[in-house]
Amino acid sequence: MSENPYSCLPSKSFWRTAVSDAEKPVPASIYHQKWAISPTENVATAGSCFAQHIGRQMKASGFTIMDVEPAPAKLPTELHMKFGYSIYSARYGNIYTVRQMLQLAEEAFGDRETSSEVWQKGDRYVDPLRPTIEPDGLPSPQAVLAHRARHLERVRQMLLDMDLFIFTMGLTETWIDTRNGTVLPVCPGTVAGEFDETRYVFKNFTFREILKDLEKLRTMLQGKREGKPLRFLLTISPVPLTATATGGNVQVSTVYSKSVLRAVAGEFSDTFEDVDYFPSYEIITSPWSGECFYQSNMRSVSEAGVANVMRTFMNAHGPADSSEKPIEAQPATTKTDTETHIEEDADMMVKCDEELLDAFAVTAK
Amino acid sequence: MKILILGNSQAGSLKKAYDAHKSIIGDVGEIYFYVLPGGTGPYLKVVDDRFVQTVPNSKNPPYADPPETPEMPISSFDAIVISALGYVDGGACYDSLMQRRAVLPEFGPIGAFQEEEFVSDHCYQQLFMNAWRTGHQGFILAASLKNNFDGPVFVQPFPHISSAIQEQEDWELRKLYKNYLGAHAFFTDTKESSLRSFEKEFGFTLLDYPAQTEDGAGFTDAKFMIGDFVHPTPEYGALVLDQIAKAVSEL
Repeated sequence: MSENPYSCLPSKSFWRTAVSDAEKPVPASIYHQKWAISPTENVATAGSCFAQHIGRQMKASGFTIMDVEPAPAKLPTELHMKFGYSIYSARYGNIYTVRQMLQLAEEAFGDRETSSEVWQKGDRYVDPLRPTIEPDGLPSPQAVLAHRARHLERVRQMLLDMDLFIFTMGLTETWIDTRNGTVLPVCPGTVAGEFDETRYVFKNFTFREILKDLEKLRTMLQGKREGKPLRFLLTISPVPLTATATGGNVQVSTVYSKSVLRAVAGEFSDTFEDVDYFPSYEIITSPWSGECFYQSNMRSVSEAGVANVMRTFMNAHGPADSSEKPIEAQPATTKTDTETHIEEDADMMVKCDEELLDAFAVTAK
Repeated sequence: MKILILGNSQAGSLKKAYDAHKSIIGDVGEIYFYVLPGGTGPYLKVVDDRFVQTVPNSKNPPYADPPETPEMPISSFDAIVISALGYVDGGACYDSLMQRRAVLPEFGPIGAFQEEEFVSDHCYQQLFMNAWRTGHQGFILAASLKNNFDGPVFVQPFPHISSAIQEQEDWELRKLYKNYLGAHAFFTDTKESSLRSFEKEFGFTLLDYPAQTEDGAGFTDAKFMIGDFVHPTPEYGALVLDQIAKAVSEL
């Protein structure tokens, strides 16, 4: 047999050795990091709800996970999540789309006018750009704007100080306020606010749009940081859509959405040496692991799934002895009764405001 | 009937009133005082039917009347009153640690204070409850009594700060917030709701503020307070003793 391009490839390149005959459920070769992560470098996390696991596990393993809006001293740990603390590196709640992240960065640096929009919820007021970080909202519109201004200050500092940005892309679908082009994390009228069809439009971002937004974010941060090195680690949330507004089947929309995001992540990480992609999405969704890593609702990721993702991650990035330690899903907090309507997955204990769609959705017709 | 009054320095007004007018409450039973200075006290808990000091303080020794009160078994009393529970505002003389715990932006924080972390009002209420539950010795005592005393427990709320404090430029709260009266109203409401919550949790009976002493804005009428804006006069103490007498007589 003559030499050919395949003859000298490693075993991870071949299905039989990398999948069929490999260790189960997750072969070690599924991820090879582009670069190491130092325990001393500042790591910031953001994104869709699955991102919470990575930050939490890394923190437990001794990495420096930034928290620029820490919970007040003396606030019981079990209340951190309820008030949006200790979930990500700042209190932005879930950032589902790249456009939402770009928008946040632009606001933080003053490159985009800060939204003065405030949603009313009973006699309280909610920040439309992070509607679930305060369970009952705030007492006045002025309070919302004051909290938002402080939040943007902190985010700006985080974006300047971080060395590695771990971002989990969750959705392509979103809602946009046509008055100012603001991308919203949740549809108005679900968590708070009112839906006005003449004002809010549905948007399903395309591959090109998302890639362009990511490149814009990277370029903007490079400029603001004046050459200070920054690396990105992208992941795709394996959590399916709660609902699609495309009018199509939610399963089909989920596959479309995740496929677009996966393609963007591949393109982006292939293009830039400072961008890596971690395949948490593949680990959870792959039928070839021989296991189902979803709970009975086929949406919430099981504890075993989270543990396998984190074991793979920590084997690559963790301290030398991390593979010897059992890796388990790191619980964030103890959920309270008031949160049960938000998160249907009691074991995962991850707050996912996308879940609110379930709570507010009308009965399917 | 043996009635034990546990308290901090606020109980001084009750003691003075009692010494001056024993008839206010003397008719319903024998009164015992066991008092330890410190606004977040009394620093006591129950162990084996006796009170034990949780934070011994040699500089500020306990006061007792009659002197043997600290050694008496708790079960020997028919009712217990915790005086002045829920210290929040130190006025211009004492620490206001509860008010410095975090920043409420809606009241216009001032100076370096505004650089500290913002919290929502509802989050602050949780901080309040947790601080009292875990660090306020008076509430730790209330919890201890729930588990170790079968008789009724009455709680006198910590008196509102003097209305005269509003004119004081060195009022601690005034140094923290532009809208210090709004902040004061918030802290007052939070204090009341927290006390009501603990009333249910610990099974005590919360007394009202003496109606005559209230100005309707969360302050005690200045004529019932001494010059430090925090401690009440014997006249205030007499009104509280009257409340206690009525509550005990209805048992």
